[in-house]
Amino acid sequence: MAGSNQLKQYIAFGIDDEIYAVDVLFVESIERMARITRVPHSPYEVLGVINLRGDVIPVMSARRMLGYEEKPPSDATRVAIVRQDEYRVGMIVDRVTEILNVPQDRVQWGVEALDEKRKVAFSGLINLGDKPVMIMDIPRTLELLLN
Amino acid sequence: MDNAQYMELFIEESKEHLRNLNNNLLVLEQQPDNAEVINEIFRSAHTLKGMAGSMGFNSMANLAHTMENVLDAIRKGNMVVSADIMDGLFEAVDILDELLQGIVQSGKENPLDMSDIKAKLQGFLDGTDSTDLGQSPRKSHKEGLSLDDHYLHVIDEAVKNGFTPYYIGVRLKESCLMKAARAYIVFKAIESFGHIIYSDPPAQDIEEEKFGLSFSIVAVCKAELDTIKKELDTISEIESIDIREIQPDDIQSHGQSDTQKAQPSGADRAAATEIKDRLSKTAGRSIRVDIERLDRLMNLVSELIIIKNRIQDLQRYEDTAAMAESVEYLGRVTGELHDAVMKVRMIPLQVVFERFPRTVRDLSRNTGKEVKLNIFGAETEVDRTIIDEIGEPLIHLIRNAVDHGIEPPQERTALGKPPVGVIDLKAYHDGDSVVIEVSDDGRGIDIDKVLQRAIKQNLVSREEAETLNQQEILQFIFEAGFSTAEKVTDISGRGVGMDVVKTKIESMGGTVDVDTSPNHGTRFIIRLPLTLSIIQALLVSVGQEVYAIPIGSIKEILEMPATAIKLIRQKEFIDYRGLLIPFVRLADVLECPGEVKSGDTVIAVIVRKGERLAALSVDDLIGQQEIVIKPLGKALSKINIISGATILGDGSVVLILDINHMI
Repeated sequence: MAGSNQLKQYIAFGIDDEIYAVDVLFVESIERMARITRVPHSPYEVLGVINLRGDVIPVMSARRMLGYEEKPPSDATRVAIVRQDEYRVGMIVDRVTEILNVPQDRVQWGVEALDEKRKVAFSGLINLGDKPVMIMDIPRTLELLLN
Repeated sequence: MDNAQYMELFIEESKEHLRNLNNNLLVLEQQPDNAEVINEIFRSAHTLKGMAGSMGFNSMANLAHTMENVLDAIRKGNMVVSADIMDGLFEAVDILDELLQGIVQSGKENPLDMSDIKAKLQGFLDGTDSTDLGQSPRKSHKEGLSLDDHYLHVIDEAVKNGFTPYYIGVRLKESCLMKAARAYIVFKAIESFGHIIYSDPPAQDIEEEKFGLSFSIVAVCKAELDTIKKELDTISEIESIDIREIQPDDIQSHGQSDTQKAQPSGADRAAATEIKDRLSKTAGRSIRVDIERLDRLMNLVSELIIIKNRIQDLQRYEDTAAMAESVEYLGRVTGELHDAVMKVRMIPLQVVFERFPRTVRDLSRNTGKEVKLNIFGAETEVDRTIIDEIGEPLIHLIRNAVDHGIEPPQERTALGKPPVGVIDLKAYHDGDSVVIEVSDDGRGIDIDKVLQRAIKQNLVSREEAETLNQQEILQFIFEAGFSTAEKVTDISGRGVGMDVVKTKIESMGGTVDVDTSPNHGTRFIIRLPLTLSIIQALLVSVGQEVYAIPIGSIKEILEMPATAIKLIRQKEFIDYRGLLIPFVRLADVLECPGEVKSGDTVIAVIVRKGERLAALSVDDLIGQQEIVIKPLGKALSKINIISGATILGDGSVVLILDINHMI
């Protein structure tokens, strides 16, 4: 049943005017912005840690990861809790736009990061007509950031 | 058969039997005539054989079987315990252990070459007329039937009253799962005909399933042999039953034949019985609990403490007497609950210490030194997380003590010391910590040579070296690569890898110190926190931020004029009771954003790491609180000045400073 028009779900989020997406399988939950405690000596992209229902979880700024200017959070700001192996981190995004159901033949695979400033790995591109949506490669991105 | 569900049980029990084997072999080495210990060893080997066989681990079963044959020969007096035999048995136990490790890791036996050890063990047997138990188990029972005078007397009396004494040997099927229950049915069946006067192993051991597949019973009954046999044949899961009338000349009395040889001395036996009693008492009162369940319980207690702190916080807004009383009560109950749960997680250090006598024995044989290991305080309990981690560093310290600390016997005699070196392993509680000391009465560490080497390896400049005291110099032995560069056995009296010991202990939130004196020996002092998850901490503010400092590492809090800070080579120091100690500005170390507060006075928290002190400057003291340590997660595990985080009553996250990495 590995048909090419099999649907796959992505969570789409916006940073300024761009749209990015993450495979829904990596996303544990979407949370409202919480109070952040700064952690000294942490990587630039990591803003600190938050209290997620009793667990302490590091959060990183998608803006910083993608090379945007830092901007104060708004009501729309969300934290996507991303899980991969032993890593469990929050990713702060400007807004979560929608859940995309994308047939696999609409995804172009093998797209590399666009410029050096971005500490993010991409695994593909969804062409939805009006605007391309970049798919973040969560395992590789976490590795790039934290190792 | 699907073995998966029995696997865990098999591994646990095999570990236990291997531990027993090791311990009892050590006793046997000291008391080669102790029949009770030989029997104990035999039973362990036998059980191990049975269990491994039923799980399909043939190498293990095979080796255990060969061991069993040797032990049986010893048991029957066909063979005398010699140093060679002991070595062979120890080696066999090591190989069994290795096989078990393979099973733990991969679920399969690793293919080990066992022909050497088997040939060795077989070599002991050749020349003795021992029987192979696997082929003729019945014969061995017949030969081995020996009873105390007391039982002979009972049998005599019974015969006079028209009873017939029977010997009944029962062997259960290997597939039998509830051996104790099956044995109970056998006991019941026999008791319906008469009285059981003796069983091997004893009834209590059988009840606790402390036997392999076979057990034997001596009973006096009025029924005919065939009647009893018929009745027993109806019981399922029994492999074989060997029942026969006991003839008077079948029985050897201890009183006549081998009292001298087989019985341990009275004192030894009393001691052994006492230990056994103690163990069986605790065993009777303890249960096995899945560690995950305990962790879950611990997490819930942690949550409770957090919410308690929150309620204490809220009390500020609703401060009535009733509220205050309830909050205080809640505090007390959570405190006690926490203690109770902590205790459940505590395990005596015994489980770690008990393998050391064997280590020391092997080391002293290999090095040709005579070493005695004294263990004190093995009953000291620590958190199970510490149990899992502490073994490796301790083995390292003990190995070093034998290898490099203790001198060869001739050298010791020449120095006027007793030829036998002594290593003391001591454990005790001290406030909120557990202290473990490893000391030897060997040659000690040569401070000068340590310093020379440190200079040679550029760990310290020649000028700086002048200012160091003994403690500071000794710290070099913990530096990574300090002693690995070349063989230092003859230089420092200490071997390789002290940095590993130190890293390991610090990762548990502990410290290690060393103390030495030439020709009198060396002592390592390990200090560990009693619990790893809930601690008392001082909350301090630095700039806009709040941090927690574990109370365990705080020595004192001082307020002092800013002018008391002295500048020595661009580094700040303060005079603390006549001692110059580094003055660390937390705002700088923690890269706190914003203005650095400056005033006429500074607040200095004096912290210690082992014997070393430092003053941490903070802006304000917030207060002392019980905090629950939460890990920062793998993503941030590389930040070493932060040991974890905690959540305060208001839900905010506060980072806990790792003092070990600040000094």
